[in-house]
Amino acid sequence: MLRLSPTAIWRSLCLLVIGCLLTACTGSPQAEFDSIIVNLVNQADATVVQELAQRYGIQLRRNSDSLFAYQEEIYWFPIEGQRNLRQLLKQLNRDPWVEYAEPNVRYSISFVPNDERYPEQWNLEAIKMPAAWELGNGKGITVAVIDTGITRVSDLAQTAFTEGYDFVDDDEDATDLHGHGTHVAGTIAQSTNNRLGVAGVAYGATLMPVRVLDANGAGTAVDVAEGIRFAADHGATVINMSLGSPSPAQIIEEAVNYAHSKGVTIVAAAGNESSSQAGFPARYPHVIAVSATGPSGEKAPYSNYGVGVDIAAPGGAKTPEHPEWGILQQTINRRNPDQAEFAYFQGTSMASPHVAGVAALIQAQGVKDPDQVEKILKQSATPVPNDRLNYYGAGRLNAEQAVLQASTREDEHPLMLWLKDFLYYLASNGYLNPRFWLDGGAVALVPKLIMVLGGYIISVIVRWWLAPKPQRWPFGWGFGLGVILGSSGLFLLHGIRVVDFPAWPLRLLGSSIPELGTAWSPVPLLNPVFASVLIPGLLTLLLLGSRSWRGLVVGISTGMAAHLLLAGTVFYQDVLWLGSLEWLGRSFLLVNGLLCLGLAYLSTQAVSSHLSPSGRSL
Amino acid sequence: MATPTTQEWTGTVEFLDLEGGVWVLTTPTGQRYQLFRAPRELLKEGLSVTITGQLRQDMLTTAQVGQVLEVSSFRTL
Repeated sequence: MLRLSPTAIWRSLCLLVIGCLLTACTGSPQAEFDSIIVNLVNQADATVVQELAQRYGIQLRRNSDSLFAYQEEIYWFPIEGQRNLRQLLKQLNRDPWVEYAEPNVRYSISFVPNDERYPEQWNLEAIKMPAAWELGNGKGITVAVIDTGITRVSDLAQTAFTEGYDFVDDDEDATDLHGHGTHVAGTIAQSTNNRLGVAGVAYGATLMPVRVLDANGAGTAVDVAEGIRFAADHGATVINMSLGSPSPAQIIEEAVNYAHSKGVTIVAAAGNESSSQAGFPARYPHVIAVSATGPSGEKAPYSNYGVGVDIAAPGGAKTPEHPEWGILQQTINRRNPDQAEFAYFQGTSMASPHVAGVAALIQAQGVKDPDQVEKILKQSATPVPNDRLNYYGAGRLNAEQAVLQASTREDEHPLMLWLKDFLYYLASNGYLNPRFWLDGGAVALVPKLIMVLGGYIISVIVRWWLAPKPQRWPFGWGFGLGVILGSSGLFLLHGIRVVDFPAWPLRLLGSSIPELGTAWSPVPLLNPVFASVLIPGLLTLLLLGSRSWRGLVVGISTGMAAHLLLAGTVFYQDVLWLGSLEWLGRSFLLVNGLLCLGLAYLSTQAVSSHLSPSGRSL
Repeated sequence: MATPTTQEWTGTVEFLDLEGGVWVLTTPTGQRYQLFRAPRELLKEGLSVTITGQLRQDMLTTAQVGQVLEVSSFRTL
């Protein structure tokens, strides 16, 4: 039994109210203004302006030198102190010289960085950074960039750094000789709002450069493993690894487990082989594997997907005509490492640091446990419907929701957390979507239940009215299983979606025999070869003689009778190849349903008459 | 650990615009190998070659486009 103390209920209610308020606030930000616009009638001249200024005690200024401002006589004045604005606006609007006066509302709803080339960073808009920055910038969190090193280019000048290490040359100078690491570091913490270059996700965070890949962008498993341990031992709580290999390495897996046990959130790139599995280290447990999306939000063509992918983030999808569809950061020139440049890169390596940056934002809200951080990242991601091949894992990274969830999570009651997780599970599996229940998009639950029920009703009819009496029922548990297989299948399996796993095996297991012929496809059609008396007929011929199997066979005939009779009447399902001829489909299903029923009856008779009068149950 | 064996791979040299750029060998079956320690003369877009070298399963890369092929020598076709 669940017991809720009055305080717990009270706290939950408070949280609910706060939650609603937060939603309301983010939904319609409060209008902010510190000046009033005054549009004067077009005949107004300098003397009128002066007179008005004196009358109302305001300083009227012309908005701009534009022709529009001159022709329309648009002025503005700053609001000073605690004057009664409403009253003043009323008076102004009544004045014959004034066409209208209104608050000069600021149209920056969220924080928008002033970095010169920020407008080119579609990727940061895509993960809703402006709203997330309202809540934090990752200050106080150290993010280790395990990569080709980091060069402190001009747009990293205001970014905080901590001591790193160079495992390639075994010294303390982790300067980048390739360009990759500097680009990745830029996505995480490029100096932001410095009027220069571009922005970074967690620009308040501290970067730790850990160089494990050489000037060719390649390195050994030993160096990577050492880099992970170094980061975990030197205060990094987020590790980004925009690197990988198709082959696993135990030394890296052990280092990952070590870092995880020390409370480090580890993020890695899924890889760029367009393959259906993430590479290593992304695929290890405790590593958040990131697939890449382009500006449209679709998976980038090069990105790995499927096994191991946890979440998707922008990695760019360039075309020869549109290099700007890549990810823009400042890095070093590949040919001349002394020269910095702004470059569009693409790859899952570019996607991973987006997630690492948001992980830092989450940690800055006080959520430190790596499992909790991962959970928030996944729960706050925008799910992608019908993602059968697991292109996107939990969905597309959503920084705003992630930080919001992290900021409200800390003080929640464990029960509320559990409830939230459960609701999330339901929602992510479609159970909270009314169409799930009404259209039966995933499982037509009610018809399925009625079909099982129908199977049992028919079995009761066969058992009590048709079987010779007095006779004990000659079938054991196999019969019950048969009824379920024939009528509905293990249909609840339909509702389960295992991440990293294609949907068809479960759909196959979750299908009844009549549905098997089309289980490979998500379209609810019946294959006439399977939805007929053929299979129970063959099974009866082959297995009715076997003691252990006959219960199953008779059960299948009974269950299928129920399924086909119901499918032919109340819950009509189109029959493959007969789709346009509904009457033919219905007749086909009904005739076969009756044949199955007859088969079940005859089998029962046959088995019963062969049993000894004592009628042992098998 | 077994010593990696030297083998031959035939295919086309390509430059992919991924992760800032990477040179690969694409075999006729579409398999991609990331070239490692490739001499400058090998790095020509569209070059048909047979490469002698070995796979470096112990290496990780920024590009993550496939297995790492360390080049010992090559001949153009």
